[in-house]
Amino acid sequence: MAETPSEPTIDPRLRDYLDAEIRQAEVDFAGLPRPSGRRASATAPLATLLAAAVVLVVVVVVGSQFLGRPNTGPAVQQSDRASTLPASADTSVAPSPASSPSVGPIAAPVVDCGRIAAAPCQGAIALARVGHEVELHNAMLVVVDDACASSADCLRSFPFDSVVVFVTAGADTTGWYAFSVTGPTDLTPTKAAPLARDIPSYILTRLIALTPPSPSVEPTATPSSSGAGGAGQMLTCGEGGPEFKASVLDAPAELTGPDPAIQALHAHLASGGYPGMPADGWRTVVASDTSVTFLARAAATWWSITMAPDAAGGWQVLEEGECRLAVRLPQTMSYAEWRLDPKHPPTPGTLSVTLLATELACASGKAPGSRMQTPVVVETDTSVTITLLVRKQGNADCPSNPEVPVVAQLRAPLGSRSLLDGSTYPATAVSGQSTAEGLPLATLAPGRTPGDARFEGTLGGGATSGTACFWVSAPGLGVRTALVWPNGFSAAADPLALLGPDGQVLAQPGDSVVLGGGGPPVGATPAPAQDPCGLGSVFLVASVVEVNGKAVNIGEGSLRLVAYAASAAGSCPSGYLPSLMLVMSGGHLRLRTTDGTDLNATWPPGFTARAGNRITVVDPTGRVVATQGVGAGNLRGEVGTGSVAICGAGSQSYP
Amino acid sequence: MDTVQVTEGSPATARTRDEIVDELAAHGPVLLATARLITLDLDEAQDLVQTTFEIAIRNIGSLRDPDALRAWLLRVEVREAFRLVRRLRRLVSLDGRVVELAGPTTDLAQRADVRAGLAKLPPRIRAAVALHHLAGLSVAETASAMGVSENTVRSQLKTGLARLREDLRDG
Repeated sequence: MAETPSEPTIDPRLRDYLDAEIRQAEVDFAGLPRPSGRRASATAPLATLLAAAVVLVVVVVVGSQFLGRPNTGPAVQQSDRASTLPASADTSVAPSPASSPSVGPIAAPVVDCGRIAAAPCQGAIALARVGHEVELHNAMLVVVDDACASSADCLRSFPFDSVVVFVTAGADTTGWYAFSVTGPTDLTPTKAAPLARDIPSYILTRLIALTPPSPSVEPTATPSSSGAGGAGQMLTCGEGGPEFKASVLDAPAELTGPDPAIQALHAHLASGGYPGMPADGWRTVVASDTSVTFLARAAATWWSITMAPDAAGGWQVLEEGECRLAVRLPQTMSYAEWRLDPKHPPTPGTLSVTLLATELACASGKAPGSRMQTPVVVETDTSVTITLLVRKQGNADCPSNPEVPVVAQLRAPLGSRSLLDGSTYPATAVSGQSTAEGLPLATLAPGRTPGDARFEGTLGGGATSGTACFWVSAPGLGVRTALVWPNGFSAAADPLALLGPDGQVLAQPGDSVVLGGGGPPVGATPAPAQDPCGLGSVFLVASVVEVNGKAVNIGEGSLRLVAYAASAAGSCPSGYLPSLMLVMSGGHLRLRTTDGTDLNATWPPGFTARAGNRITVVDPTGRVVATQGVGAGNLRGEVGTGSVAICGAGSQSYP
Repeated sequence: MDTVQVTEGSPATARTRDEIVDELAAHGPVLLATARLITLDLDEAQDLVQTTFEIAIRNIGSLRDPDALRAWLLRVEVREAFRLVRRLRRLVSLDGRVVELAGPTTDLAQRADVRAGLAKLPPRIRAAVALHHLAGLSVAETASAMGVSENTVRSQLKTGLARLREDLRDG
């Protein structure tokens, strides 16, 4: 290594690390596609080399960085296929259609020219086709747009600088071909080359919206979560986690991979695993010599365990917890989850749906602004799936992000179609909306906990004399039982919806619900205030356990945290507590230890809990310190008998 | 399609093109390892190497000293890496994917500590460490690659190693 007189001695551990990196890179590089002039003709080897290198870049970008993988085989097949494309000649002059090789009549694709005028758009498309006629013959969609998202933020290399993307197969990107087409004036495209960078996100969102599912993909029972394919999609349990094909979720549960990893999984599960995890039904979704990820489902929730070799030669749990399934995105993009804006509830005639969106990736608590992409809207006869994508904020820390309004445009009135949030896989049904003007609702007195009987059925609802009433129709009985809700619940009108203590929609008529609670004393006659619709029998609800198969466990005070007085705060221990998972237990947010003990938690003043896809506990600055269902290993505090007082998270101490 | 511009009579044309290809490929592992250290991301690193090759092939004619190919490639790579940073700020994303690669002879926990320490370094200091201590460029070559002065590089290396040493001691 190079030495200079003034440089300090390098730490031997760093030296070992760097040497190992080089050795590893030698192994990995040998397995990568790389430039090879051997296949080129003797007359233009460098041009072919360039084409091969550039095509390889496009393959890496399109085949690996976007939403899907090839449906018909592993990515390496796509590399092989793409690298065998004939080298493109220099196309300094726009070709005439007659110059194309004879590959049969070219089908007329749908063309979206974006901000490019029609004539140069067609010229750009023609240029990009040259040399790729066979591959692009069946293009069903061509999307063209300026290479710059906006003129204000652009390093334009040519007056005409565009991106042309051909879609020849489904939305899983197997058959996507992207080109850069440039020219000396803003109306004159003259050169085309494979695009050597990511497809810009503003074009990517249009491609996703316009591209039909892959014909080779079997339709899924639920509409595609993002309109971007189906069983061939690559899923993740969250950003940075392992990736796997959606089809593995439907395949029979099978454990594959290194035996020691499987044995370690069995041993971990036999010891109880993480509380709430299923004991069986596990399947391998990703396996290598350095990590194996298993997935299993319990009710509506998927769980994942990732095992990795430990220093002693065995395998250990690297990560475990609930798995929020989502279609993998390019690394520069993340999802935003959304709810309907209660101030602008959609009606059957709605063509513009107003959403309140929350970016899921760390963004330093900043609103996404221009990073928010145009909503991806996929409409079918029965549903409207809206997926919100956000270009990531770099160098971001992770306080909770603000909710921002986003308007999604529909091609046809909403009608009775259900609205789905495409930020999960499969897409999540969105429960109605609230209105600014709520309806009175039959509720219990504060602190009333009427029992823990289970009552399930289909939620019904109506309004009478300005009061909302809800009931449950038990399956097969045809009897309607009126419901009295926990204190703090309310209702929204038009359409009718049950609101939880946080004011968000919890359920709507037609939803399948599981309730916990109890009946009134035997012989008691419900008061009109408890039974405004006069059904004659009531059930007193202590908590809403599930809605449409999804565990919610919301009752009175579910989102209230017990805070200790600031005066009671002492110095916060510097050591981390053993991993604790935020759970809803007994109608309250508690912290569960890895041995399954639920601890009553007290939190520093100013801490709050927020509802959402998962409940989160946030500190006074909005930073998320605990998430429901996810083990947290960075909490600090004092553990008492059956309780824990949290006073710090990570390096931050409170108050 | 862009054509490859090779200036007639330039040193690059003195060799056969196959030789150039072989030479590029010979530097692949160093480019890949350096890219990984700078980006801390396997996919990003592979993209960066491919982009570097593409740029190198297109501009090989501008290389005046064939013996400086390695430094030239690393210069292209690091410039491209930070161009990407400027565009997307990807390298400084805290939530980027970082994949641990098991070294055959190195203790995993120690590797994790070193990697964690490297990840805490500012990207430009990490790049300086990568170019000098991993890729083997001299301080002058590192300075040239990064477009800064030699004193800046020396300072970055000193700071980087000191922080790493402190981090490893604390760990």
